[in-house]
Amino acid sequence: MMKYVYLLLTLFAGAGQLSAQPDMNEKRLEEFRKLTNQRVNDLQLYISLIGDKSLSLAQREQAVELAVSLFEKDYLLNGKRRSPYVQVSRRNGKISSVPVRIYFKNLMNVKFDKVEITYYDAAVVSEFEKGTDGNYHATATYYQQFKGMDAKGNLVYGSRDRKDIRVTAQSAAVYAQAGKEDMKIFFGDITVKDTVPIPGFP
Amino acid sequence: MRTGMKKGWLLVCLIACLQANAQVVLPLGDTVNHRKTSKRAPEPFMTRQIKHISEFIDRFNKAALLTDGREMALLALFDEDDKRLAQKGRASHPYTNQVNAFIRASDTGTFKISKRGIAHAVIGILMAYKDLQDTLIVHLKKDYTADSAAFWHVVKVDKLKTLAKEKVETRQVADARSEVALPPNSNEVSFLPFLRGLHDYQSLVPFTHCRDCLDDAWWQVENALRDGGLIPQAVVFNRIFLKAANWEIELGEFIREKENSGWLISNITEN
Repeated sequence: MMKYVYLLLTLFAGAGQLSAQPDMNEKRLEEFRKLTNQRVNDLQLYISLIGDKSLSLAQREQAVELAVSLFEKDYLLNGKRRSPYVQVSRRNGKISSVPVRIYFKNLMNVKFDKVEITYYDAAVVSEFEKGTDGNYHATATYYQQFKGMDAKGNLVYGSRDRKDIRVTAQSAAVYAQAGKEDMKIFFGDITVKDTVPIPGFP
Repeated sequence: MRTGMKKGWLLVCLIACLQANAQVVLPLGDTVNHRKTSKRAPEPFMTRQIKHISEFIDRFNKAALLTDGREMALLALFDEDDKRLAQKGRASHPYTNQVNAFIRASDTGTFKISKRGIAHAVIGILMAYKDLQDTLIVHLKKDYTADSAAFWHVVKVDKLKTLAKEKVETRQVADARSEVALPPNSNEVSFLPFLRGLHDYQSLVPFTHCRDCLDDAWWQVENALRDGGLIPQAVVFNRIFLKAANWEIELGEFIREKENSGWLISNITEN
């Protein structure tokens, strides 16, 4: 009997440590900032793979899965599992919001014969701020230019966007006692905003 | 096993990506389904654009402390395309006088915005209701818990014109455990966590920590949400309000390709 009591006590103690988030110092938050920048680079790569029609459908679907894996999972609210949203705002005033998976799936369906994606060495991460969930929250921002052309090289669609991504940082305190801490970064909602018309595209 | 498979696919994708980059120089006729990805140095506007509220506060506090060039540094934080600001050959607008008074007031050495201060936001959410569209105005406040965690919550909703003829009916409200704290940086992504929450809960109540806020305008919106007639579609504007001394500073997000862009002052009010 006592064995089970000890087992239960151990489990509860472990659970407490898992959920407890340590207050993080500047050095730690700077590490999170670097990790976020790496994840942004990963996301940029996956987005370019999703839109690449020279790859097989299976490869592009795998790129969608890899992109989705960077985002918060099992977002449970009111008994429903929800994915973060992407809200796209265009210069013509058109605004649409869709779950991230649908956004990436839609990228698979864009019909261009040639695509040019340009990223800028200007990704920045805001300061991390503690939320009531015990996690730390920041916003990563980067710029991307997209040009879609037909077989003759005529520009069919083009835009330069600013993307803001909500980032959640978790540090698992349970490993701290063993001299290790596990850092996890998850992306949340994204806003995509047009910044400029691309020459040749109205 | 699954992770291993993912890594394998990633490797395949990476190799394919490198090969695609190598194909860039091929003539167009040979390159149906052709992709080119490149990375460039940032444009000047990208580095100067104020991307986050914390960056605005840093720049504001730094500018307010300057002895030389303080006026110019503070003016750079205003939307330079604001037609109310004085331009050559035009009579000055009362707002220009207000901006000048604001800059004079900043000479006290105590003109500072606290990063941990209370902030407010006013957002517009496009709503669909019986083949009509309307914009719901929602007022939010940023607060802090005793252990210094930050969160946003709803404090007020404005009357929705399309619901003007609907009767006001107070209904059952769930207990306080259903309260949802919106992440502290929700404002940086047009309050999308709130938009998602409205879809999930079909209610505004979980997003407020103040039961006194539930007035007639609130109940009209709340009931239409609960009945499924009012459907949130997108966040169409987002304004942030900060305090410096006895001034309220309204920030708007100006997405354009020039250095004076991003989060900028769109209005000021002296209290």
